[in-house]
Amino acid sequence: MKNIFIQGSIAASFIGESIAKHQSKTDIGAHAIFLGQVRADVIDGQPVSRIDYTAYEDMALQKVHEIREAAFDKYPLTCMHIYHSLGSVGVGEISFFVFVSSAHRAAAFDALREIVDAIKADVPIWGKEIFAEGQGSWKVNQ
Amino acid sequence: MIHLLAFGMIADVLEHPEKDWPWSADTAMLRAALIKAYPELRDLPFVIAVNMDVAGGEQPIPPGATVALLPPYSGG
Repeated sequence: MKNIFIQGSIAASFIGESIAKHQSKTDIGAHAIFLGQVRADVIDGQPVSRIDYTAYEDMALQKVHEIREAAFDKYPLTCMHIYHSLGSVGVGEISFFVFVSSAHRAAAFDALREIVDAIKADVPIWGKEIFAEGQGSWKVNQ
Repeated sequence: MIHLLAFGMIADVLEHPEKDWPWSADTAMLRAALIKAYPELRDLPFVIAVNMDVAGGEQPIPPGATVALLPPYSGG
């Protein structure tokens, strides 16, 4: 099963290199990319300084595999790459990267949204929002 | 026995995220036993995965299963 986890934040250079790797795949006409960035929420007056991510890794990889297969069955995609951070990611840094490619834009747009929503709903990953003072509170997804 | 895993805020309550725990025949009985040992769990939302399977509703637990306590996910 493909690993999706990256320790710490996902660097902009890693995302750029991922895009560059597709130049040889000339049947692709459209890429769609989602990047999740850690937001400086203020909770009970305390600003968030980072999120610490943990996961039930074995189950998460199994769930992502199912989501990936379902998307390939439903949409004419050329390829799909999914990455999520584990450990600490500071505000303003990237923690979630989904990249889908297809011949035409409609499949890439539609699949991207479905994959991102499914990962947030069905994959056992947790974020703890850590305040500048050190305490934290468990993140609740919207 | 079962192999018990806890994540997120549930791991905070159990102190150890991974431990051996007496076997219960199904997830409803396990939940009751856990709440008896850790009363704070009564007010926390979590689902129980048996060997990585989160069934809708309660499910049986085979002896020796890996059972995970999963609070609402918050990835992304």
